[in-house]
Amino acid sequence: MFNKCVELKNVVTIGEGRVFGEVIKLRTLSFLGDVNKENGEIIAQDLEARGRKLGGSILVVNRFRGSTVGVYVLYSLCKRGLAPKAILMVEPDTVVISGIILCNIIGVINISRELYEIIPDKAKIMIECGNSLARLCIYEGSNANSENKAIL
Amino acid sequence: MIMYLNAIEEKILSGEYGEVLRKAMEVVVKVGEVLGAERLIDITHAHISGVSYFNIGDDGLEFLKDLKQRGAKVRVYTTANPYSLAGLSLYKDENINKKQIEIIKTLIELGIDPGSFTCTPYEIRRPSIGEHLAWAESSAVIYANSLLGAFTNRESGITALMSALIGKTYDAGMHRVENRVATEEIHIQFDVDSILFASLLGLYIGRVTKGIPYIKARYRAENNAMLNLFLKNMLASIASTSNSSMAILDSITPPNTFKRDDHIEKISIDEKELKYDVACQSDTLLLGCPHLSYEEIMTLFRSKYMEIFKRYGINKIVVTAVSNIIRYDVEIKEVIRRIRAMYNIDIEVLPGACAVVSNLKMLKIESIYTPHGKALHYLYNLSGAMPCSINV
Repeated sequence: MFNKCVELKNVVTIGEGRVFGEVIKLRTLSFLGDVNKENGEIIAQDLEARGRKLGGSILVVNRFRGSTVGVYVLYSLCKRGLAPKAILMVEPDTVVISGIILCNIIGVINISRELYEIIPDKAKIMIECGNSLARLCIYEGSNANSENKAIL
Repeated sequence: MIMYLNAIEEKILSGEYGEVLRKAMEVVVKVGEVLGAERLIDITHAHISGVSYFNIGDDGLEFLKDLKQRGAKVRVYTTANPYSLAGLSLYKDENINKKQIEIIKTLIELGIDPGSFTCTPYEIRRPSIGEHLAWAESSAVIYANSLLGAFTNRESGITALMSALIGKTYDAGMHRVENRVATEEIHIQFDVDSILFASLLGLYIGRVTKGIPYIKARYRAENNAMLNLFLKNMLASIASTSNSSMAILDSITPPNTFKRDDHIEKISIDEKELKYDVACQSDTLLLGCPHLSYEEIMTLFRSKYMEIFKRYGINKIVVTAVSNIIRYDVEIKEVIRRIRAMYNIDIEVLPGACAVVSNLKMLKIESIYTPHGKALHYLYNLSGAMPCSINV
């Protein structure tokens, strides 16, 4: 059962399709240094999500930081199936944007700060991009694996 | 946003000039479209990151080798970041050394200046005011925009390489003066008089800035080399804890390369707000993150500093530096000899290498002193060694 779908306005999207996953919400992240490149685990000492793994998640970040080598880490995680399914960001970040393009995953750039605030960490969400439309559905509870439930 | 491309750019994108250039053009155009660029612009100099085998791994090496096998060649002057200590064959595991050397060789075959391999490419070729670049390496990007008045976005290691292949970047972000606007004014309430405090200040500013900080500070440096060290460490530190690609330094950043709005938030930073942590100890000191130039090495190799190092119990100094210091090999060796005789401190100068992007644990280095904010920020997670701050 989902409780809310919103159309994402004034965003730029990369890639097409629909993905489901659990949100990892972070105020900041650098793919180099903050992530264990072997298994995709967050290792930054100053981030609450430390210990969680990026693989299969929907990563929602306010503002990325740091190294420009992060693109290689993201690319390598993608090749080994350990990358997020989609990445949403408030502030555009060239390093991560180029990684999303090379990885062929879904990216939503310039989401509003208000939306960033209301997306709950660990929520199950769906992102749908295509035909100049981007939609996000937030699910109630944790049982949100069924694709059918998302299509009203 | 759909970008306007000229006839040649269109042909490259349609694959008429081969698959490598098509892919390079596709990546640059796509990133540009996402960032709202309407056209591409020529660049004079590209600088790529992603050179350490410990960071890019086998997937990165394969990516570079695949480009080379398909005949890729850079079209503009291109420099590269330093390699890990495996490039000097310092590891017992021959496979690691071999892979690092393979990365270096592949990059040189792609056309990268073999005399570069530095995180301070501006010491190899100094861009002029207003030049458009495609640089990766966050500390070099922020230096180029803030101190040299050049124009570059904070490119990823891969987009910088793609730009090098086509000689162009997208006209958005930092390439446009209207986007180089201060987001807040930061007043520093103390004199910046050491590399450590310039670094701690930079790490702090990176955490509070919304984009482009306007920094008003007094710098108390004994000479120009030391002043440059303060500024480059402050900027590199800002770039470690943020994605800022520019800071506007009061009376320093070249005029006409930025805009200023008087109605912005004002923030004061006091010395007490900066975390100064000396929780660990080591007998080794790391200098050169970002890389040191010859003048900077000579400034730090004086008795005044050796006495401080001695007090901390340091008996070994690892210095990572710009490759072109080998021109001064004789002078540097002479100073190192004198320091060893007077202070019993061993100094190893490693041009072209970077310790922070190397696995130091494998080299049995558990902890290491450094005054550099960028190293303090990254060392533990990248190298496995605990960084201990030292007030220099």
